[in-house]
Amino acid sequence: MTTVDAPSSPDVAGLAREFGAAVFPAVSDFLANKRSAEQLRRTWCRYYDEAFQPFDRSLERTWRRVAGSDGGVEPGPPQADPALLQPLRLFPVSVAHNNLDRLVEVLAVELGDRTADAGSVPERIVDLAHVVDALNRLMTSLTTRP
Amino acid sequence: MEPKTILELLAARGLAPATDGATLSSADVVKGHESAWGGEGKLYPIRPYTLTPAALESFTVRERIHVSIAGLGEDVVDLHGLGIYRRHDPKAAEGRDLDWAGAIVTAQFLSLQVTGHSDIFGQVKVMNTPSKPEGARVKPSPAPEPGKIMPIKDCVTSLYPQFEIEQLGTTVNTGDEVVRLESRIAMVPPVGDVSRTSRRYPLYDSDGRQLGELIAADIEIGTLLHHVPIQSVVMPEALAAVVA
Repeated sequence: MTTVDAPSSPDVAGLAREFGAAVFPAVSDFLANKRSAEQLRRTWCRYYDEAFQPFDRSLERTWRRVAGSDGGVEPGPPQADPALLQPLRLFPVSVAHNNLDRLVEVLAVELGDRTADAGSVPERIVDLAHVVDALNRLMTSLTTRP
Repeated sequence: MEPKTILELLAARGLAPATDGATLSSADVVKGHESAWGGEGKLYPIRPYTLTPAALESFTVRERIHVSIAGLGEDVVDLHGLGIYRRHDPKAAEGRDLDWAGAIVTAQFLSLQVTGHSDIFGQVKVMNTPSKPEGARVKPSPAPEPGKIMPIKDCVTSLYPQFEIEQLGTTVNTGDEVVRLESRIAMVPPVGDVSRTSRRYPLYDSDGRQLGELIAADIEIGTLLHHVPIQSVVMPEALAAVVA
């Protein structure tokens, strides 16, 4: 197994609260030119390490339990399996966080201690707004869905 | 009224210089293929956190490039197409077990072809350079602290893209410089992955004259179209050097 000290089930409601409390205001400040890209990156990394990673380890452990996977090499082509729907339901949260991690990183590489207005790749600023809103909606939806 | 979403905030404050309101259209946004966002009744034909043997795989690709060309101007172009790669058997990283968290997975790009339109450049086609070593490497992410192993892996894709630009009348490329796009992934094939460049690359014509610059590139991996297990996959030495 590749997981350690993860909680028993992924707490998407808790993660959504942390996202709303830490990431949302940090991105808002960044877009309002009150916070640099590097400051945004530091806030994001703290959230990613302290809130998202325990969720992600828990998600992996849930997947392994349901799929009967030990993390080793599994032969055969990939197949859709309705039995795996439940753990896969939360997997987009993981994919979106990891894609957002890279986006925040490239913004920090480009801008450093400067704010959003100083950038020359504005399309990525727009990406940031879309991804943060979409991820927030996704987690809220997963929290409220029975 | 106070903005309730980040997008509303962005619209309220105005975009960055040189960006018009059209950019707020979701058609131009790179946020991951729709399959990455789940939804009722959607099942991934994949297994996250899982290693599989060597295979030939093809998938849909969307690429957004931000390019400037001397004499023509600067534009952000949306391109769509297909990618094919030959994925090698996974290997254990040094001192690690052969499992998802400890493995290194490499792949050789066989084909990448995407096409799109720009009001400034006309038809734009981007393709890889099969004669050069191009591929991807997935390796363990650094542990956030000792003993805490992560299910996430770092992915670096290395390409020598060629840009066929209608209004320029020729093809430009990055010369001998490989373009690197990085991402974090939790499955192979990386359906839903978004990889991004973090620097600019000069663009040259076939005579070596610099005609422009690749300012940024962002690639979304979309649907897995084809998967064929293969045997006897040997990574060429030149490719091993590029993805090392």
